[in-house]
Order: sequence, then C-alpha cells, then structure tokens
Amino acid sequence: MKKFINDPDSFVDEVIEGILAVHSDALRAASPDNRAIVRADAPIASQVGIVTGGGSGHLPVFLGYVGQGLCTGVAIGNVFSSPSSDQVLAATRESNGGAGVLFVYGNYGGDVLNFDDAAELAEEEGITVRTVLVADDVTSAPANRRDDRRGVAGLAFAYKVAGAAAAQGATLDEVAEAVEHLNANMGSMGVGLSPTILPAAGEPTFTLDEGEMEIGIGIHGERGVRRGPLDPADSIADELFATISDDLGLRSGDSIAVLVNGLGATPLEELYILARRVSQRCNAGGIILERTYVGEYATSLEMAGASLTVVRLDDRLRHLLAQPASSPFVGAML
Amino acid sequence: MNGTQLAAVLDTACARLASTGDELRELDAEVGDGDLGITVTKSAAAVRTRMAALGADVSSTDVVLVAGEAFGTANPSTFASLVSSGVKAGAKATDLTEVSTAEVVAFGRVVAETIARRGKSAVGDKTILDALVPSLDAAEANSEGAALEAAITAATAAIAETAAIAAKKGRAAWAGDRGIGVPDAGATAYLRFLEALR
Repeated sequence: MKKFINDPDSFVDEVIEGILAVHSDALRAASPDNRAIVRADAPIASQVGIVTGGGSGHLPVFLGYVGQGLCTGVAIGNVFSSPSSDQVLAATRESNGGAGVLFVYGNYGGDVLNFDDAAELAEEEGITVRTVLVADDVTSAPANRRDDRRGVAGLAFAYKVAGAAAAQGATLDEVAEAVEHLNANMGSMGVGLSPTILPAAGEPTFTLDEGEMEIGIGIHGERGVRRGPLDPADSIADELFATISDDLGLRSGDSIAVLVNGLGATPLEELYILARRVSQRCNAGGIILERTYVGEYATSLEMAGASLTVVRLDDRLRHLLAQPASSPFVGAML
Repeated sequence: MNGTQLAAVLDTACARLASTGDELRELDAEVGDGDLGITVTKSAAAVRTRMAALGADVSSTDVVLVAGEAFGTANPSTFASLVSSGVKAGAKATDLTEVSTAEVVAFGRVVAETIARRGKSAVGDKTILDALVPSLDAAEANSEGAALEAAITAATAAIAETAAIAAKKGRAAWAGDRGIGVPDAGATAYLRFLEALR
C-alpha cells in the first residue's frame, strides 16, 4: 500500500485540518474537535438547515456538499464509521436558523443510531428536526424493501434538492417532502474494479482477481449481486442502466437526469465512455436525457469503479435541480 | 467482586481484545465494510484508558457505565453504538453489587433487550444476539464456577449454526445469500470478549 499518510490514526483529522486551512472563506468548524463543520455564514436566519454526515473516505461526500444551495452543516466520522451523536448535535446547533433542521444522509445502521440520538437531544434543546434517509442503491434490497437500501451517489441529488428548497424558503415539512419525492424517483447501481484500503487497517476491504469485476458494489466495498469477468464498457453500462430503468419503471417519453460517478481511481475518460453508452440507450428507448453529470460525486477512497444514478424528472425536480449551488468541492458540478 | 476488581478484569479482557482486530476485520470485510476490527480494538483501548482513570471505591455499576460510554464513543459504528447503549441500559436497570452470575445474567438480559429494540433485530437475524442470548441461557443453567465456560460453549455453537444462514439485519443483509457460510462478525467479537474474560 502506498499512500500520502503521516499516521493512520490521525488521517481524518489531518484531512479536515487541510480542508479548513484551504477553504476558511467557505467553511468553519462547529465543534472543538473539528468533526462538525458548517457553512462559514451559518446559521442562515429563518431558513431550514440541512445537516448531513457519515464516515470519511467518500469525498466530496459528505463535507464537500456543505455550501450555498446545498447542506448547511456536516458531522464527520472516522473512515467508514459514523460520527457520534455529539458531533451531529454540534453541527445541528450551528445549522439551526430558527426554521428547523432536516437530517439528510445515507441509510447506514450506525449513522441512523447516532443521528436519531442527536435528533432527540436537539429536540430537547428546542430545535425541530426531521429526517429523510437516502436509499438509492437498487441492488442492495428488492423494490418491496426499498427503505432497507443503502444510500450511495444519489446523495448528491438529495443535497441539491434539499438545499434548493430550503434556499427558496420552503418549510421543514416541505423540504423533507421534496427529498422524499426525489427518493421515489431515483435509483443507483455501482460496479467495482479494485478495492479500497482503509488507512487504519492497511489491507484491502475485499479482493478481486485480475480481470474480475463486482457488479452492484456499495461505496464501502459491500458485496454486490455477482462477481464475474470484466465486460466491455458498453455491456456494463447497459446492465446498470437496464437494472435501474426496470426498478424505476422508466418508459418511452420519460425525462431523466443521469449521474455517471467515479468511485475514486477511475479516470474521467472511462466515465465518459459509460456516459456515451447511456446516451445511446436513451436515444434508442425514446427516453429524454435532459442532463448528464459526469465526475467524482461519491467515492470510496481509491476504489476503481463507477456508479450510475438515474433520476426521473418532473417539473418540480427539474426546477430544484436547476437552482444555483456553490461549495468548495462541487458547486460547479451541480 | 468489587468495582475496582471488576475494572481490573475488564482492563485485562480489553487488552486481550487488541489481538482480535485482524480476524474481525476479515470477517466483516466478507459481507460489510471491514471496519469492525478497528471498532473493537479502538473501543477496547478507550475502555482501558477510562478504567485506568477510575477513582478508588468506585462502584461496579459506575465501572460498567464508564466502560459502556467509552466503548461507544471511540469509533461509534453500529456495533459500538448498540453495544454501548445496551451496556449502559443494563447497568442502570440492574443490580451489580456482587457481580454474581445471577446479576451478570440479569444485566445481560437488559443488554440483549436494548440491542434488539434499538437495532430492530431478533435472535436468528445473524447478529450479536445469536451468541449473546444463548450464552446467557447457558450461564444461568450452570453453577457459578462453570457459568463462563458454559456461556463460551453456547456462543461458539450458536455462531457456527448461524454461519449457515443469510443475515437479515444491517450491512451484512445487503450481501444476501452471498453471506451464507460466513460467521457473523459481531457475534464473533462477543465470543472473543467472553474468551478474554477467562
């Protein structure tokens, strides 16, 4: 393993120190341990605060989505581990502009436990909190158990929708409902080509033989639906797109937005080869591809691989996704 | 056993858990994200730090509360959070004056109930509960001197049995049938803790 590291145990803290040193105009710490971070101008008076968080190792998820028209605050855990409820609470306090706070994060057990605890503590302090979990990975549970699915790159769209609705002055319930509406119209699926190495473990989280791929992989290297020989890019794009299309029930005439996301070690060039094929499939199927996002939106350290996210658009989602957003990491990409 | 003696027992057990990191990481990586080894070693180290800082004449209840708090904050993953809230709830709800087998079993019952409630899980879902609940049954059915070995035997058998099923809860459930044959990492962590109490 070759990494730019001083000490595995201080990996996350040094990452955050670097980000705060570089982006002090946009971000500030909301707790003495730097594990709660908010927009430099937070809280935003009488706007709903959007708080997210989770384990480290996925940049720009989660910290990279703190910015105008996106999240107000974030709580940052160790690599692939939840932040503590105290860290979530610290981010919540500094994100509360008086209109309540919406928790938006991926559906992972440890995060749910700690965010739920933080929500209880915040309510005791008089802050109204609601939660919407993002659960977009279609291969992690069947459609009749959608709520059990894990959250992956669709988080990027959830932040955009929540942040845009909040910036327009929507109420807490309205912002929550907008994200739930997005969830009902969004699906993702990933494919892994090489594993992640946790800095503190120093070992790959899984092994893939040369020439193998893991179809349906999660952003922590969770096993997918099958492992097999690496297919040509077009076949992979076809499988991802067909699986999500079936799950969403896409039909000719539907309008969609698509995100082709790199998992950390796959070059942009290859992502555009996948995006090319998705565009061809849409043309062939009479599906209107309104916008394609290509880049690293949710990663898994140095995992090679990609994920595809599809959002079925209506006027409401189209409007929210078109609103301005800015953050040091993803402003121009959203 | 008094509080100071209990703190020493927990300190020794947590020191022994340091060597389980690789095994637990590998088990967890089969079906999850491979961070359980880090959780257990960091959390056990945090418990040791707090045990060393306890005052004299500390009660066993306070020892367990402090240990539970430390275990849950070092690396607050699902496992650490659930175990921590279970241990704290058990310490608050039961009497640990003597730290007798009967007291520890009653304490363990509250731990299991809390984990089941907060984790929305039950025995047979392929979680720590699969080892915890049978180990309490076995300890209860045996004499003071034989309780720990009976608990270890029961937990070992339960883990082997549930290795053959697919997980129904948590990250491992996403792996579905591909997790069949892999022993549950959380239940194994609990077994290693029991063994470390020997």
